Amino acid sequence: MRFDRYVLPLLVLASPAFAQQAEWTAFHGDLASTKFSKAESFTPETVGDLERAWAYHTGDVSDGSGDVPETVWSATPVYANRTLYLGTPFYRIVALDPATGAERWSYDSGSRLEALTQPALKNRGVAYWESGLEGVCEKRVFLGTMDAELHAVDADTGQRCADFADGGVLNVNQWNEVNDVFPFSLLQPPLVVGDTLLLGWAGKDWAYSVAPPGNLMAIDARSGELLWDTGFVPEEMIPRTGTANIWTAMTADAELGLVFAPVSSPSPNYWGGERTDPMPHATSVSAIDIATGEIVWSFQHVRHDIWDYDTPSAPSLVDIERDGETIPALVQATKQGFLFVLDRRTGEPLFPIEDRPTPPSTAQGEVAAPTQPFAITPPPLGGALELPDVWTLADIVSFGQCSRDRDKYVYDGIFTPPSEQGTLFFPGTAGATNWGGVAIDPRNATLYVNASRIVQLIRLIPREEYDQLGSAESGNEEGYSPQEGAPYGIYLTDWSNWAGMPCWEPPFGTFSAYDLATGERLYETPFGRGQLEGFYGLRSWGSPTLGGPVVTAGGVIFIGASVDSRVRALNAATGEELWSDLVNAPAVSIPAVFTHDGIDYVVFAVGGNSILKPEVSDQVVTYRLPD
Amino acid sequence: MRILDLAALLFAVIGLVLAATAYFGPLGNTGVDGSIGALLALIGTVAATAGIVVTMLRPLPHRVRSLLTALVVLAAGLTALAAYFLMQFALAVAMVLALLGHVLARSLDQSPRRAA
Repeated sequence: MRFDRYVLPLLVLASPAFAQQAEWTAFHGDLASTKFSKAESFTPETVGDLERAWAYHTGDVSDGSGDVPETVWSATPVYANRTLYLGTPFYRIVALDPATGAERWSYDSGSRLEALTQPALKNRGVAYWESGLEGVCEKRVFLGTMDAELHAVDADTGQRCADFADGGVLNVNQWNEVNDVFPFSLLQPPLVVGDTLLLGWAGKDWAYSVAPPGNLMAIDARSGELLWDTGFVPEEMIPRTGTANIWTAMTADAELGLVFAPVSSPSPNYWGGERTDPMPHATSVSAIDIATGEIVWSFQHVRHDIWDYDTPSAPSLVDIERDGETIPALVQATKQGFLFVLDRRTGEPLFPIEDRPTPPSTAQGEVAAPTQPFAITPPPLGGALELPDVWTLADIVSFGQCSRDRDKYVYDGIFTPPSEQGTLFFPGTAGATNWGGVAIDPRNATLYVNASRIVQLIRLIPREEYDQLGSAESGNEEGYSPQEGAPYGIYLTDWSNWAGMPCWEPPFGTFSAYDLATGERLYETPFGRGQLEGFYGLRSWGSPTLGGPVVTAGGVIFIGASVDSRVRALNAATGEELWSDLVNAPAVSIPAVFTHDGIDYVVFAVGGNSILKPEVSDQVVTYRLPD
Repeated sequence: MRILDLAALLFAVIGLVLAATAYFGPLGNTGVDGSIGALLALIGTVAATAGIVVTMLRPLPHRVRSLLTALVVLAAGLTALAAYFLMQFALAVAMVLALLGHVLARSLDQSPRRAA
């Protein structure tokens, strides 16, 4: 292990300033992705007094009605260098004064505003690196673009760092050499470990069967040099498939020298007849040696994934006490609603995982995995193992349409394969959890998580019929997708009645807490409110969510994520709502909590996401307690 | 009666202003601005206000008056319900008060005739 690359920066991070957790220097606050803040002033007794410190608009927003595609913005703000940094969906960086929201500088990458690999322009923020030395570009902010460029700028001025790659811009697509049907879109900021940037990419695995094979790249933060590149698709399968990429955030344990990579499903998403051979790293959480790129272990939580059950979020690290021993663990939340708790040194499960039979496929050429791993402890999120009953209210409004659908479509339990007849799909492709992941209070190994309960309908459409439909590609969460090269295109939609009401019984979203020492669920409560045509649902109905929670030392959870465009503070002990505020769109990002000049702040980037509702924004809202 | 009519009208007009504010959002984001639900609530307040005004302005045949009262009650009641689900609670309260004022005024209208 090189001292300058890994150990020196860790000593900086281990300094007293870092120990106070005054900063929020990464997407999830820290390398361990705990989303835990040591801010103590936010307590169940005080958060009712929260007030807006400031609001700021980036100006980088589009509802898609004009020439510019719609924006989707899930950027967690980064607080470092006494500055708040944000990436925008127009691929700019803005640097703000944390106390006032005044803009210090902005940087425009000049990226094309074209939705090359996604249904919308997307950004999940920026990454921050510092060398510990003084001077120009010894502190840097990194921004990725949809057209595969990684930009490095000086954190103090916003000027490009000339010594990084080609004048401050790294063309990551130069390494996209196989099945390059789309560019490596850099929507998630890299993970910074020491002087190394760990970088995955996003693509469109719903559109193609043969696509770029997923990989993890390690890049020198100073020079932009590629240090290593590790692939997740077996060599012999690359001509037949692709993706199994890392599109979301990652986690690292610098002491173990491991990065934990949430690897997605292979392409195409919903038919795997050309990829029936084992792909042990696909839809997995994999531990990779940061120094060498070697895969140390891999835990595959979906075998032969034909549900787009990508590993959607960074695993969170926690130490668990068991029989007098401290076990370094990680928790991986999944779209299918399982919480896998593993020994992060070996990938071995810390709670029993059951191998249960799963239904076969009726699709042409498809061979579904006969069994799948079920994490029963801790209990699955939101009743993921059982399809919710038909919602009587929606059934009455639709004169029995929902009940007829239930009889018409296939559902033989979780992991029912997609079919030509139509399969009810629960949890749906947006997952019980998504990129928000979980928050963990490391002091008591308590985990907090929001989960959606969305039932979708998926139908495989034979190629000839699909081609005759002439349907435009819709994207990855809903609508038509061609799966070019497969015998089927697909149609995917939420299971709803003619009025747009969900056909399944609420709640549509929950918030839960778990004791990770015992695996026991402490509570599960409906969270947020749904909204349809302006009308809000009842509190007991909850809301689907995108985005994640933060937990603070004062015993408060901060979270946006819900359809109703509210940001909330919850009592961590009970899940009870303590405070909320209306913002301009669903806050689908993870908030950042930081201390600046002795004052605790919580900041939300409010961007919206069409998966929840057609409302977008460019708002940044920051709250603090009164003096 | 006249006072009750005026009170009902006042609350209906307040409701109308609140519904317009909720729909058009001139003071900023209301959470429902531009939505179909808020538009329906606005239409409901307009209908209720118009109904109250008509019953106040001119003598009407008993059946027409009763029908109009029923329509005002329906419009105000449904608008109050819609406002509750739009989380526009001030609007909901205004429409309930308009409804009560209007019903009371009409009840007192009819009481002397019954006595006679």
